[in-house]
Amino acid sequence: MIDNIVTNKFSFAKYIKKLISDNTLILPISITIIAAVIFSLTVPNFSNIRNILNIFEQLGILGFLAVGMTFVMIAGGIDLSSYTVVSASAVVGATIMVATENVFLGCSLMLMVSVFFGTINGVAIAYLRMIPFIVTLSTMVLAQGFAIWFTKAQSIYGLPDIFIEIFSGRLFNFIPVPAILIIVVAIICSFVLSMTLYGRWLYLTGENEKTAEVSNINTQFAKFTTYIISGLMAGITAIVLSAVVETSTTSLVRDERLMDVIAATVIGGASLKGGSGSVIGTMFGLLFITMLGNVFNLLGVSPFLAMIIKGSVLVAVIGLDVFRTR
Amino acid sequence: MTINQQKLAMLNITKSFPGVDALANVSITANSGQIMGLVGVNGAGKSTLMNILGGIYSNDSGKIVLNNKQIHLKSPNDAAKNGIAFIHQDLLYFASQTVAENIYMTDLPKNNYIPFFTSKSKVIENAKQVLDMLGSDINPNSLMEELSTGEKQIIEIARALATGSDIVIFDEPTSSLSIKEKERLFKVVRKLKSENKIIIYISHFLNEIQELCDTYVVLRNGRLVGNGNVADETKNNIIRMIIGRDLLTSKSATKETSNETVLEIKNLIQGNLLQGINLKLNKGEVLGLWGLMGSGRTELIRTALGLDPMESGEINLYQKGDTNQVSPKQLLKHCGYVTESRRIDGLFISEPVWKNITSGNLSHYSKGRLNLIDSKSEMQSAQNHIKNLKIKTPSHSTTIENLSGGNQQKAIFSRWLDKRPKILILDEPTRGVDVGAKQEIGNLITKLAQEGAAILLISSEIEEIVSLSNRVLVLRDGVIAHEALEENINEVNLMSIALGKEQ
Repeated sequence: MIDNIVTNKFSFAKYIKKLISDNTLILPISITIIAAVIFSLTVPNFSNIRNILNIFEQLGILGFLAVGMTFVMIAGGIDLSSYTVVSASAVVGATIMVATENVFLGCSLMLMVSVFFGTINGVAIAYLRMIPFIVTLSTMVLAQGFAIWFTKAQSIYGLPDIFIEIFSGRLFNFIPVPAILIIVVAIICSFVLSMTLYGRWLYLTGENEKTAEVSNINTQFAKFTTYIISGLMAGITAIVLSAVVETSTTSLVRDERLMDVIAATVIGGASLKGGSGSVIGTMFGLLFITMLGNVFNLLGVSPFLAMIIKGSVLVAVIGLDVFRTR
Repeated sequence: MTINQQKLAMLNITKSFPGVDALANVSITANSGQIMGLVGVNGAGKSTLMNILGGIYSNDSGKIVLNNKQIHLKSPNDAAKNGIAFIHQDLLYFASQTVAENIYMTDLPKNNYIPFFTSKSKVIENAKQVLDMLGSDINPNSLMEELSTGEKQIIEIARALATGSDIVIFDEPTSSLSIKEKERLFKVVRKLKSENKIIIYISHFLNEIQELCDTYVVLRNGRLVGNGNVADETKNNIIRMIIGRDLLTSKSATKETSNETVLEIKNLIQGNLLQGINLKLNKGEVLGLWGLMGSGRTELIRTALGLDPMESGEINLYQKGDTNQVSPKQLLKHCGYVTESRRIDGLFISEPVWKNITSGNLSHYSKGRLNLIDSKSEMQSAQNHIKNLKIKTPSHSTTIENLSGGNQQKAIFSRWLDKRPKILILDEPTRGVDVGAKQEIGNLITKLAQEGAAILLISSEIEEIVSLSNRVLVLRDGVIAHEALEENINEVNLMSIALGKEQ
């Protein structure tokens, strides 16, 4: 390959820009490794096994939403609703699960409700050509309202023990089940994105929808399915999270987690303009964000200060996206 | 006013991009009161050179001297401060604002009575003066979006005048103008010349250079290969300099075509523009679709292919003796479509060349129940296309953004060559493409038709329609106004029909 740089003047900024726009994985991996090294040297208890497993458990929980967001953003959209869809599907599924003691039925219902919300998003955005930001902002409020209305703002207790044991347990008394699940899901999704025809459709649709249409790619189908996948991921999150916290509530995922998910996806190489991103990158981005939150916890940083810092990180990350795609 | 002689010199300019030496040691000088024509194939370095002068790129070495004083152009703002105005190919304007406000956008006159307010009457008065100076009768009160492309261009020139620019650069200004608008533009450019401005005029069209310019500069592969007075040089000599070899006389279209119809469009209606289009496309022919700007050529194609909604109409596809009525979306599956504007719906601009080439034929590269995509064979066939069409690129994995316009266009062509559809629709296939690539693309079109493809060719360049088509349909007033065959396919005839002067 002759991709050598033939500029006379060496510009550091240009070099960095080229590096992070040519290989989107370098940034998330290096930033995560650097953060991990610094934290383990400076923050007490950061590197002990229990804390690391703790980080991976949290990673497992938010990971599904981040994978869903990655699909949506690659095809050029955004999904703000997935974190409230988690609550909406969790409360429906949990209510039925408690009433019937049927774990399978409850889990299926959680998936069905979340896919239903994904379908609303997908139809509105892909086929009715509405704007993703506005549509998913509306379904975010809709799902939140539905969850509160359905439960009358009460938490649902008494989930079957077997359900809690399956999804919140640790394999060999060591590896958290959510972490295993997310690894499996991430591998499958990564494979789909990089190796299949469908994955290529998503990237090309996000890169330039009009050209994709002319090239005979069914862009509407491509966009529609990303919201279904995002919905499905919200359903899986509902299952895992209900089991881990042993209850289903109307606010299973806190508001600022949405920011974490978006930040992780963008750090991982996705662009708000579509056409780029990868599951592996997103996973590293999420690891970075999760470690940051974990460190704030360990150091006893005020949650409000933590929000300020995380908000700043998100703004910086979006700035990075602009810098990278310009 | 005293005649103040100005002189601009760009000396030993060198500029490299990753993988490409865009300019090597190029020196040019331009004098006021003269129009300098800048010619060369795509990728020759014309745009790069002018972008350096416009402050958009910075040169690696060399200097720019204005009136014996070196100037540094680090941004478009610096260029504007030095009186350099760049009239881009894609016009930049505020559509919902008036003409007058667009002209004075950066420098609205202050209101004498109310501080911080601008004076609407003064803007209009000033704008009128500038437009008068250009000999234009555009109403300064009309909204920008109401103007035609040619008029918008004149507003852009007026803005350059209003801001007191002494150096005006035109980048292919006529590529989307009608003949009448072109004449009006030339008048304005000559007017600028009489105002003693330095004018640099980039164009592919040698006729324009000969008609308009005093001096010429030819670039090839980033090097200066010729300059002088236009009057002293023949057209053929300049062409030789541009492409570095003799121009082969372009072969005209194949004479023999079958009468086997492949596609029939019946009574297609859409909006005010298309009021019942009927056409038949035969196997092995190049069917030219000719009409003036705004006659609905592109809209017809987009509607027939389901990219725009269709009000009514019928599309019949003939395959292996069967007639199938299909929907526009289904028709798209059987067609290759080279679109009018590469950047908008032709390229995946930040993807590598190979992904751009294979994107129209992806199902061919995917296998098995999981539809796994075989990137290796994708890259392999992309490399073959790059070799066959002589696409100039450092590698198949170079981002397509880094290629010149002509090479991008060849990549889009290979996208459809890869799929080998029976019907090829080419909308302005050589727009913004240099003389050499234009000829290659022309030969390719003829060859594809000979091999049995049915080709629908749309072009605003009448020479192209005339030299390539077997049959020409003239689109006017929303219907096919005329069908021209054989010796009736000539420039005079087609133009007079399009303008509505039927014999």
